Amino acid sequence: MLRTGRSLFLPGCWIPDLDDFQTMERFIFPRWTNKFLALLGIAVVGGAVVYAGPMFLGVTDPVTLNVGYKPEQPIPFSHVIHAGQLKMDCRYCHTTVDKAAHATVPATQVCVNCHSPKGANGTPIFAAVFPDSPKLKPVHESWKTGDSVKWVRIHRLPDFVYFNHSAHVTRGVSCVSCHGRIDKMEQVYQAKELSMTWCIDCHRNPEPHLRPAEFVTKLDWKAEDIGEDPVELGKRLKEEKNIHPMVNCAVCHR
Amino acid sequence: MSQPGLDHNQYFRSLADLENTPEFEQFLHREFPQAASEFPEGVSRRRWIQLMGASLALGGVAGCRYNREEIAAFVVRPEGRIAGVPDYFATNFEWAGRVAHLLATSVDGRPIKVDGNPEHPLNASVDPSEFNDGKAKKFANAGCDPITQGAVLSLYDPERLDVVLNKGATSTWADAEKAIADSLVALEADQGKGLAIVFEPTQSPSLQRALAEVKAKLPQAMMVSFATVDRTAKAKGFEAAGAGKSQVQYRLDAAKVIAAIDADLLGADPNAMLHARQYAKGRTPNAAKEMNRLYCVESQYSVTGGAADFRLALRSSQVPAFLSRLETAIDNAKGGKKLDETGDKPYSDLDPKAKVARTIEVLAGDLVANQGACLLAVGEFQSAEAQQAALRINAKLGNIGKTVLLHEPVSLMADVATVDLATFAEKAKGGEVKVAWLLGANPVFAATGDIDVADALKKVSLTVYLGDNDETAGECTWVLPASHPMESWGDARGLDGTYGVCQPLISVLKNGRSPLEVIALLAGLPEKDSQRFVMATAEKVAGASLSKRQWKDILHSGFLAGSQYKPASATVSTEGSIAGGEIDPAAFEQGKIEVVFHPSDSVYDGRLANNGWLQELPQPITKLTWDNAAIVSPRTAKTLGLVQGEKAKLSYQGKTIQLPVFVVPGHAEGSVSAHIGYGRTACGVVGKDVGLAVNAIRSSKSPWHLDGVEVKGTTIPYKLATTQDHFVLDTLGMSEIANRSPQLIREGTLKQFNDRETFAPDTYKPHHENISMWKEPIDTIEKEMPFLPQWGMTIDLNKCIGCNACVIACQSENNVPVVGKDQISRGREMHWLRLDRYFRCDSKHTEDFLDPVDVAIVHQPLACVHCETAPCEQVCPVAATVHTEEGINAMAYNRCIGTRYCGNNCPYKVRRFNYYNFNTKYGYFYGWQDEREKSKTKLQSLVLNPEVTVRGRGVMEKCTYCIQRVQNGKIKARQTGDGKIHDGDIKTACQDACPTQAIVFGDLTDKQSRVYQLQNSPRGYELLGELNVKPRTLYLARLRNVPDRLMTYTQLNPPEIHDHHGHDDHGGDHDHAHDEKKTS
Repeated sequence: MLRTGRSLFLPGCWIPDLDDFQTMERFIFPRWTNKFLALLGIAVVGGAVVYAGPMFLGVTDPVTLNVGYKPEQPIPFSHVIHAGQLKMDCRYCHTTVDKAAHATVPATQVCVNCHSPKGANGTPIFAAVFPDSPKLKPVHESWKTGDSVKWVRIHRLPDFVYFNHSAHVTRGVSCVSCHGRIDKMEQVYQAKELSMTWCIDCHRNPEPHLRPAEFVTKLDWKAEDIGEDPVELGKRLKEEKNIHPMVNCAVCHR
Repeated sequence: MSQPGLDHNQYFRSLADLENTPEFEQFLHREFPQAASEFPEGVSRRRWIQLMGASLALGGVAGCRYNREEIAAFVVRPEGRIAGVPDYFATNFEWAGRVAHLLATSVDGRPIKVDGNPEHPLNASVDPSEFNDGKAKKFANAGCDPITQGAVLSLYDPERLDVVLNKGATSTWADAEKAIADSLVALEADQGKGLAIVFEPTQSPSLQRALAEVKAKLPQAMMVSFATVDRTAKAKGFEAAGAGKSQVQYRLDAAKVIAAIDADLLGADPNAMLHARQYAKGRTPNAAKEMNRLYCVESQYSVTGGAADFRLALRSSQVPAFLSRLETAIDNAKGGKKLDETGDKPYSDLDPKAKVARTIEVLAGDLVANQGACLLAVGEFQSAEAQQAALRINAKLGNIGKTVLLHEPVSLMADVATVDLATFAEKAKGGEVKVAWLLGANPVFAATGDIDVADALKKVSLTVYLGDNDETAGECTWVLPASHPMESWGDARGLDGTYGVCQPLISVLKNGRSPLEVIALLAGLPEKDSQRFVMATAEKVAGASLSKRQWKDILHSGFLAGSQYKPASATVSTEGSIAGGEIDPAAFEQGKIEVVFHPSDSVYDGRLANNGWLQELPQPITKLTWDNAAIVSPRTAKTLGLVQGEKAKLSYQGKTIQLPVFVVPGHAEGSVSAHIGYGRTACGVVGKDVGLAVNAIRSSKSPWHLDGVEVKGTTIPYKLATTQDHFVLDTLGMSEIANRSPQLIREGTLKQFNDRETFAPDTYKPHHENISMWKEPIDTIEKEMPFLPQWGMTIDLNKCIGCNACVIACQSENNVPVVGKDQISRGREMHWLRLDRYFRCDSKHTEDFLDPVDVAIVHQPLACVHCETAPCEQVCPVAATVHTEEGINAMAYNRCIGTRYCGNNCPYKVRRFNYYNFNTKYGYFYGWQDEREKSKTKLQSLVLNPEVTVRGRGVMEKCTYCIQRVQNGKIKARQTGDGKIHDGDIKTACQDACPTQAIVFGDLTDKQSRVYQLQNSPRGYELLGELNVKPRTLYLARLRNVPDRLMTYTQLNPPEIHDHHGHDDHGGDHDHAHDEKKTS
C-alpha cells in the first residue's frame, strides 16, 4: 500500500520506508497547498529575472562600471593648468603616443624639467616652478631616490585586448575621442566607457572622429575652425588616408 | 595483420599504426582520447560545486571593476626606449656545445625570444632561397636550433641556484671570496702545485686567455679539459692526415653530391643550422633540372637520414669497413675502371650485402664524377682513423678548399698543456690534488661510467664548483651559482673564426657570476671586471686597439668584421688506408650487439634537463618526449625479444643499464641507439628523474660506441610518451591511412618531376572540380575590398629537414604551455605546430610489415592551414573562431566556451584544448592576480610574449599565422613606411626560425610576392584539398634525387597519373588512381 501522491511537493515520488513514514507522525501538507507550488515557481523565476536583469543589464554595463572612475593620484596633477591654461601639447609628456601602443605616463625626468627640487645649497638645479610645494613631494622624492612615482591607472582594457595608440593618433583620431576633454579635468577620470560596442561603433563609422593629424592633440578643435564641413571632411580624410577599420575579432584580440 | 588496399607508397606513422593496437585505435577514433571530461584528481564533483558556489558569491563583489593598478613610470627614460616596443640585440655565446650567433628580442628589458643573427658572416654567406628578386635581405633569417632557442627559457628557470652553498649550507659570496683568498695564499706559494682546474673546451677567446693567465700565474696547476660530448677524435684524425691543428668547415652549398657517413650534419651537429641552409640552397631544381644529392649511411635514423635522397642503414661499427671499400672504389673509378652495369638487378631485388656493394659503387661513381663539387663527411663520433680516411678521400676528390674548408684556428691557450678527466680522477684518488676548481659541466653526472668523479672529489680537501645545484654540487665544498650567458659578458669565435661578443641582456637574476668573473676571483687575476676583460680580448683578436665606436659596432652587429681564421696551409696527405672487412648489415647475434650513444636532441648532455620546452619537444624521428630509449629496428627487437613499452637490459663488461625499448623502422640491424643526458638525480622538478641514465655503461676509452653488448628484454613495463599517434588525420582505419597517406605527403623522384612537373597535384587529383554550392564570403571580400592583403603560406617539403626549430619558435612566440609527460601520453600536447613524420617502406617488400625494408621518412610541418571555408568556424556555437577579411582564421579566446566542436570538425587536427591552467600548474605562470604574487614560478612568466594572450583552462587555441606580427606589421607600415606592406615585411615565428626557408608567408594578392609564386609552383598541392576547405597553406611536394641504380621498386614505378576528361571514365571513388596496385 504505497501511498503515492501523499507526499506533496513531489507527487509520485518514492517513499523509502513505509513503516517509518507511518510511525513518524510528521506534518504533511494538505493536498490543496499543491497549487501554491506553481505560484512559488513563478515567484522564484520572476524574482531571478527581476534581480538578474538589472544586475546584468544595469550594474555590469560599462557605463555604470567604467565611466567616471576617478582615482586619487599621488600628485594632484592638474590637466586644467598644464593642458588647458598653459596649452602644453599632450605629447610633451605622453611622448610615445604616436610611436607605439602605449602613450606612456611621463618619466619623473619630464616633471623635473620644470619642477626640479632644491639642491644641497638650497637653489634648484633646473627650472624650478614651486620647488617647495608639498604637492610635488612625490616627484622630488622619486627624483632623489630613483623610485617611480606610483600613478594610478585609469583607462584600463582587459589583458586580451590589444589597443595601439599610434595606429589611431597617426591617422587623425584625436585624444578627445576616447579620453574626453582632459584639458578641463582638474582630476582625470574616465570619460568614455571603453567597451567593445563603443569601440566597434567608431570602427564601423569612423568619419566623425577623423581630423587632420596635426590637430589630434587640440582638444577643442572643430572642423569649422579650418573652414570645412565636418561631414565632408570626415569622408574626405577617410578616403585620403585609406582608412578602413575592420571589426573582426583579430583586430584587437590576438 | 593483413593490409587491405595498400598501394604503391606504403606510408605509416608508427609500428603501432601497422599493428593496430588498442591504443592506436583509440587515438584513431577520438581526437581527444580518454576521459576528457574528468575532474582534476582530489576534487569530487560535490566539492567542486561547493567551490563554484563560493567563488560565484565572491565574484559578484570583486568583479565590478578591475583591480587598482599602478603605473611605475621611468624616473629617467633610457634614450630610445619605448615601452612595449621590442629591441633587438646581437649576442654570441657557447650553448650546449655550439657557438650561437643570436639576435635576441627584448621587450621592456627582458629577452623573450632568440633567433639566429642573419647578418653574421657565417649566416650571410649563404641564402637558401631559390629567388633572385632582390628581397634576400628582407627574407634573410638565420635559423636557430631548438636547443639554442630554449636558452631563453633556461634564463627564467626559477629553480636555478641563487645562493652560494658551503657544504650544502647557504652562504654568501663574501664568505666564499674570503675562503678562496685564504686557499690561494698557499697555492701561490707552491706555484699552484696540488691545484686542478676542470673546464670545458671553449671557443671563447676571453675564457682561453683567462685560463692561460691562470696557468702562467700558477704554472704547477693541472689543467683538466673535460668535454661532456667528446669530439676529440676529429682533431686526432686530422693531425694524422697531415692537416695539423686545422678545423673544418663544410660548404654543402658548393657540393652537388653530399655523403654523410654516420654524420648527422643537419641534426645533432653543432653547426646543423648552417649546414641546413647550405643544403637547402641546392634543393630547388635549377634551370638544368638538377638538384643536389644527399647520401646517408648511418645506424640510427637521424635528421640527416630523413632528409637524405638515399639512405643505407649500417651499424656504426661497420662504417670504417664501408669507408675502406668506398676509398678503393673511388681509387678504381678515378683510375678509369668502368663498371659493368649490364644485367643489373633492380636495387629492391638485391640482398642486404649486395645492396651495400651497389651503394658503394654508385656513391663512388657519383663522387668521382663530381670531383671538387662533392663532399664526404664522417660523423665526429667515429674513430680518428675514420676521420683521417674522410679527409683523405676529400683530398683525393679535390674537395679541400672547395667544399671542405680547412682553417688555422687561433687559441689563446694553445700552449697550455691539458689532461683529461680520467687522469684528474686518478691523481685525485692518489691524493695529489688538494684544491680543485670545477668550472661547470657537471662532471659527476656527465662523466662516463669508468671515471668515478664523486669518489675522486671526496679525496680533494677544497673543491669549488661553479654551476647549479646539481649532482656535482653535492660533492663540492663550495658551490657558486653560475650566471646565464644572457646575464654576463663573454665572447666566442664562430666556426669560421669570426669573433663575437656576448653582451648581457638583463641584469643578473639569480645572484650568479660568469666563468670569467669566477676565474678572476679564484686565481686573483688583476682584471676583475669581465666587460673590460672581454674588451681587452677583443683588441687582442683585432690586433689593434679599438675605439669606443668600434667596440659599439662589434656589439651592435654581433661580430668583429674580418676576424675569420686564415685558411690552413697544411696539405692533406693522400697516403694511407683504413682497415677494411666484410659488411653484412643483416647479420647480428646476441651478445655482440653494438650500442651507439648520441647527445640528446633535447637536453644535450643533461644540462638542459630542467627546460620544459626541450623536454617536451618531440624528438625528430621517434617523436618521443620526456624520455630516452633504446632505439632498435623491428627485426632486431623481434630477434632479441625486445618489446616496445618494456625495458631492455643492456650489459657490457659486467655493467648493466636498463632502458625502455623504442622500435624505429629503418634503424640498422644489430645496433641499439641511446641518448645520453637523461636520468638526472639532482635537478629541478622539471628534469629530475626524467628518462634513464646511461653513463654507467659508457667508457671514456670509447665514449660513443660499445661493441659486444648483450641486450635482453625484461618484462618490466615502461610508459613512453610519444606524439606520433596523436591527432591522426584519418578516420576510417588502417586501409584508409595507407591509401591516403601518399595523398597527404606527396613525394616523387627528381626524374618524375622532370618528366612531369605537376606530378604532385596531378597524381591525386579529385575527379570532380570543387564547386561551392553557395557564394563564399571571400568572393565578396575580394571584390569589395581589393586593398586588403590576403595571407597565405607555403611549406616546401623538399627543404624541410624536420629539425624542430619551428616548433620551439612557435612555442616561444605564442606562449604555448608545457603540459608534462602524463598529459602528452593522453594526447594533450599543446604545440600549435607539429611535425608529422611518416615512414615509407618499399612496396616490393610488403609481405611482412613488421620488418619494413628500405624505409624512408618524410616530415610534414602542420599547423592551422587557415581554410577559407573553415569547418571549425561553422560549428562554433559562440562565434569564438571567425575569419578575418584577410583570410586568417582567428580565435577570440575570451569568447570560447570550450565545447571542442571545432577541434572535432577540423580535418587537419591542429586545434589544441587547454585541459588545465597549464601555465599555472606545469609551466610558466598564468592565472589570477593574487596567485601570481604567491606563485613560485613568477619568474618564468617573464618569458611570455606580451603581444599574445595567455590562454586559460577550457579554451581552444591554434596557430594564428602570428596575428600579432601581422597586426603590428600593418601598424608599422602606416607609421613609418608608405602605408603598404611589402613582401617580407611580415614573417611568422616559424618562418623566422626555419634555417632552410622552407616556410614562406606573405600576401597572396601581391603577384610579385614569394608566397604567390610558390603557391603557383608546379609542385604545390593542397592538403586534403578534396574537402573544398580551400587551405591557405600549401605544400610543395618533396623530390628525391635518387640515382637510377639505387631506386627502390616504388621509385621506379610511381603511381600512374590519370588525366580525367569529364565524368565518364570512372565511378565516384576518389582513390582509384592508386588502388590499381602494381604487382611485380
